[in-house]
Amino acid sequence: MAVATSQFTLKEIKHRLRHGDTIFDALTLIAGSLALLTVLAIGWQLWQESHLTRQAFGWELIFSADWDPYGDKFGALPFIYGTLQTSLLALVIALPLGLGISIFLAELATPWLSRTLGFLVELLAAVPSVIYGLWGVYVFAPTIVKPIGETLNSIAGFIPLFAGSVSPQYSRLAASLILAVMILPTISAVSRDVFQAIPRAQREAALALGATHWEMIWQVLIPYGLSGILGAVILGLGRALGETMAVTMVIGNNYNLTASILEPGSTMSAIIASQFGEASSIDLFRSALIEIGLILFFITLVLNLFARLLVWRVARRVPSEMRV
Amino acid sequence: MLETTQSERLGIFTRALSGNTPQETSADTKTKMRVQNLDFYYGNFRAIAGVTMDIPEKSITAIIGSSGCGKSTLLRTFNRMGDLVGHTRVRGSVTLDGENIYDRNVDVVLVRRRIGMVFQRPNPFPKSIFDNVAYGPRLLGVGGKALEQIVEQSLRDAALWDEVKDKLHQSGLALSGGQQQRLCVARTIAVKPEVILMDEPCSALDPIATYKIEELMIQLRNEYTIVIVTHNMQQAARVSGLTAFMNMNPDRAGVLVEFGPTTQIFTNPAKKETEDYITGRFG
Repeated sequence: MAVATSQFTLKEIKHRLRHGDTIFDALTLIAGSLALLTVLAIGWQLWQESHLTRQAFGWELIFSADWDPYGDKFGALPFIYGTLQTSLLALVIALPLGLGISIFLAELATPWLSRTLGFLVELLAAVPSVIYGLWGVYVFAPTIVKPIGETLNSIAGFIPLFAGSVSPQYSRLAASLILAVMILPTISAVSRDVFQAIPRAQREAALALGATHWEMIWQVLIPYGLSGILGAVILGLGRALGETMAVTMVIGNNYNLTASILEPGSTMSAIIASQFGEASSIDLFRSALIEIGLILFFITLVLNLFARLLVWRVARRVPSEMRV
Repeated sequence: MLETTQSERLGIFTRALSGNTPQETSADTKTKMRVQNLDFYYGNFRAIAGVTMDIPEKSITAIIGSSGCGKSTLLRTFNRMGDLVGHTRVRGSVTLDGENIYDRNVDVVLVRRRIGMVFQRPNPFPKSIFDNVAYGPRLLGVGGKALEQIVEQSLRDAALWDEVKDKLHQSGLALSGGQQQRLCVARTIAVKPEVILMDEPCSALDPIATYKIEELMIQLRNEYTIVIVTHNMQQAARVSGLTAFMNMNPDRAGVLVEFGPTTQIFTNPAKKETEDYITGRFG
């Protein structure tokens, strides 16, 4: 009797499980495809909606620096330059700083200090970007960015990057520095997790060979966690490329192409955000902004692919069971 | 008769011991490290209580005992690896050639340069075989031809050279577990330490790899002072000159029960506790 009952139940269970799996598999497949479909749909829409300017100007839109929407001149080069320049400078500033923070949190600080500071650093990521913008315009730019700009200008003013007149409030430098502050928590939090995931055996191996703390961090931990650190850089870069609000508020929305980081400029996301209202009634203008969006989308995609490739190349050196 | 005699029970070690050609520790053997009244605390918990032992130079000293009795903790106090874990405290002294390594003005980096360590699981760096071995010498500023010579000699001394000489620039992680552990030994001896600590170096290895590591230890004992922690009592019987047996006292602190020549510990232990442990009647 007992045997019969248990056989019956087993059959029931098997039956139920098989159907459960089918449904669950289908659901996850739909969820997964949705992510892909969304990306494709966005790309397709941007492509479709920008056909007016693509047909009218072709590649000229990318390589021309002349922006005069009411004179039917749509050159996006100043914005492409602005986006790339501010993002890269932000990264150059935030990477060493973020790495320093993560090393301090993971390797040097006492557990209590590490938790407290780590929480505060993560809090930086939770500050709304409009707050960063306000703070940037009224506090950061006049008190910190301006003196830095003046110093750079007086020392290295002969280099085009630091030439021109120092703008007291709005500048590409201000946007870069604000972006650096904004991507700092991403880089430091992700790198800290990377360092914390490195097996203790790796640290002990280095120390037992008579390495100093510094030698251990620099020669063992950083190479070991390199793929993870690169991942952190990609996340930071992604945020910097797309950041709109704070940048629009501090960069000054100057549509002329100048090389100097000390002068006001604009970025792709800033121009779209600041002019979309005006553009909605003029078809060609609207198409131009959408095409700028398409270019931004494409640049982000390419940078991500490139970064993936880099991570993959680095990660290949560490077998999967030891990977961070 | 249900009870086997003591000699029968200890008999299993005679074969292991017969393979051991112990360097007889004569009275004039120099003491390399001296542990005196050592207490080790994790926070308020005393993990090691009152250990005193003299480790002779150029010999293998084995530390045996049940899991959790503090063998590894004791070993890690010998090159101050215990410092790495927060909230630890040491009382008593560990001296290396008469100098207390816990002295306030001792540089811990220098201590670890003189006292190397091989760990329980092979832990090569995700670098090439060459770079793994070269890591320590490079820290000391060695480069060029001299570095190549050190790497080759260390790999030879670790009995790994013939297996890897054609692939020195492949990743150390591509090797088998046993080869990785010998690579770790090569990496350790490349900086010419005076003492090598081995923390259950064979626990993750198969019997053949274990055998190779044991052979290696027997070769290395002519030049290095080796202290090995092992779960494998036959391994202790096979390779060591002196054996220390540790156990937990009622407070769960590790204490040294008996310390003496390996042949004596395994054939004629002085303490009942030791005999119970090595004959498998423990606990």
